[in-house]
Amino acid sequence: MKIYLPGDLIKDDVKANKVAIRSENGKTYACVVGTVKDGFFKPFELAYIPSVNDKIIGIVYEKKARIAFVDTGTAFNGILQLTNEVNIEQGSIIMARVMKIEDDNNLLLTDVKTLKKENAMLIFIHPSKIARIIGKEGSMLSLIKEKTQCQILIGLNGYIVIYGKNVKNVIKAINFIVERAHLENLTNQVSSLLSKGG
Amino acid sequence: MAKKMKLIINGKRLDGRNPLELRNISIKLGVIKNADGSAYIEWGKNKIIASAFGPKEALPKHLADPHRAVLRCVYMMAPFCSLEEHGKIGFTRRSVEISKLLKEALSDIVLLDMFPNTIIDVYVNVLQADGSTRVASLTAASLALLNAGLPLKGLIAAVSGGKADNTLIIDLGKEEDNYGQADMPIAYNSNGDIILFQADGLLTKEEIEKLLDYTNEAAKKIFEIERNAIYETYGKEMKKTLRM
Amino acid sequence: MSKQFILAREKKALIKQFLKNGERIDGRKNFEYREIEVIKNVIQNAEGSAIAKIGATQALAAIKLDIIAPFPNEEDRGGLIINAEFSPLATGKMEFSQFDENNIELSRVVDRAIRSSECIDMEKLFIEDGKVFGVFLDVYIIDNNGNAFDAALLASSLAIKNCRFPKVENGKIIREEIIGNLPLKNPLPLSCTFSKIDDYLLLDATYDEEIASDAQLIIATSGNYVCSIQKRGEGSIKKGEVLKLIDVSFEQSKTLRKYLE
Repeated sequence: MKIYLPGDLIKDDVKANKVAIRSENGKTYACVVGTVKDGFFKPFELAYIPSVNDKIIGIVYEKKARIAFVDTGTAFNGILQLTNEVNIEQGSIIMARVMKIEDDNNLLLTDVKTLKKENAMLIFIHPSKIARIIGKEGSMLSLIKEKTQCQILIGLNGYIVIYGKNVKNVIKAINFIVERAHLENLTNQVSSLLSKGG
Repeated sequence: MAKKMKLIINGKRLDGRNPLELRNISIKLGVIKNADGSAYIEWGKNKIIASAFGPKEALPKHLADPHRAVLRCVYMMAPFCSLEEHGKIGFTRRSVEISKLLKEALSDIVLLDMFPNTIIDVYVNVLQADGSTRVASLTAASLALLNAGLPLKGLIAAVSGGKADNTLIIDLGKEEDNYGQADMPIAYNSNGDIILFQADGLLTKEEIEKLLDYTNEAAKKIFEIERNAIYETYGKEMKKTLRM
Repeated sequence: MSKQFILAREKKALIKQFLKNGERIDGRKNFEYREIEVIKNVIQNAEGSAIAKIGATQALAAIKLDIIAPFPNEEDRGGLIINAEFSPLATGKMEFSQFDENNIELSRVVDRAIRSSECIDMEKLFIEDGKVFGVFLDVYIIDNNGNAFDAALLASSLAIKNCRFPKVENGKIIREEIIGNLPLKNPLPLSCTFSKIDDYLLLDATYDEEIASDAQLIIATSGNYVCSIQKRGEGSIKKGEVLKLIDVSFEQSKTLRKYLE
């Protein structure tokens, strides 16, 4: 499997997340370390930039009369217009969709849902590893949920909320994946890890 | 530079190297778990560690640049890095200048305009010094940025050139740095363009031209060493911990 | 800054919830350490050095010996100069103040433990009138996932234990000539840091548990003695808790001491 380094020419036609590749004089170059698979450039590491329609999880850190500010754990803060529904307070953990990315890096959020905090644990991982936690068509996430019997909500920004009695095994699996996000064949390994763990 | 010392004897340098020979370089990426990116380099007896954080929210707000990320870099030598006495803790005039040069060189390879209104911080610490620390530090810093997933135009290869006992040499060790006749740290980007360049000591134009060629050759080897280290890092699991 | 405060408060609430169910998030018992690893002699230019890792927290300690003028009222013995800090390598904070309260507290707590333990035989560091050895110990927290204090002291004690002692000739240090190790007197100090969250007492808190804690108690022991104590944080502790934690510290120090071998 060919590993591309920043500055390497990518000969195939590829799609990629923004900032992972760039074009110059009709040629495509990698900007970060990664590989090409199925027509996609897959970065091993990637600094975070959100996209419109991304589902994110955040914490409300400030609430004014009709607007709330949300921490996403990244350089991009969320902004929520408050209407009558949804009980949002300072400290609320919310799930929302990115509607627009402003020039000043604020994210206008919509479709907001307040997450309950009972029996919840909130963790943060680097957003570039979130895709492997979800897996192809959600397969990795399903595996973890099944083996641990926990409910798991994923924000593409890196925040993850876990409900259930087996939180420590979910976190163990997540840490395992984060250390190997650039490698293949993780689903089997995670399955073994969760099968033996107590 | 007062002390007189024979630095080249029978064509060999104090550590047995030939004039154009590089010291041993070993690179590890991902050594600090809490950083977005990190790198540790052993270059000869130099031991240098760098970590990168970002893109982060630009705070205080007046620091933000609406067109590109603001890159900040601090280079410091640990007070225990020298074989001799305990050194100064904190900034020195020398470390401030080197911080500025590193920041300027890194700004050439980081695609800053992809992240307007953010800050990227790089911190480099020389834990053990053995000559040519600024070029080794620049190499470590660029790899910390790579490990953080920040978009780069390419890699950096930095190395020192110089003159000792009237012989042109590359990759100066501590004694050559301190007691040699001239010292020329230089860094190249992947296009072969020069992004860091200083010289200190008496050199003729012809000597400089030769050193530019020699350091360019050395840079090619350094790029290769970096590539191999990166391939090796991403060929296995990344446990972010420092092994020295 | 209100953002940091709100985030800390929410983290705190979630962790407390967990403890009510009798669990720590990583499954450890209340008085259990994370995985510990130590490496000695990592910086050969320094006379002594070590890395101590507790979980993902990493502390690097290094010692340089120089000849200095003795401190006033201590003309017959060597000097001990200790500096510790949370390195920007770990924190990503680019603020450099000589008076950062966290760095100063870390320095002084490590200093107190080492100085009060009298582990180094300072009188053997006398050279001649007006000249003594200065032991310069610097500690960097290069990665912080909680409990920097125990990692810092463990790295420091290991560096002291393996510190080589150079020859002195005509009032100058000959660094290439080693005549032994730094002379030691008493057992090297080791600490246990306890965090209090409501009524729960936890040893070796992770970064999140630290944020969630109301108070912390750092107890350093040397042999059969407590050599220093620091209570930090805005919460309060009780006499009974203190006495219990001293017992736990003595017990745990037996385990920690293995890492000094």
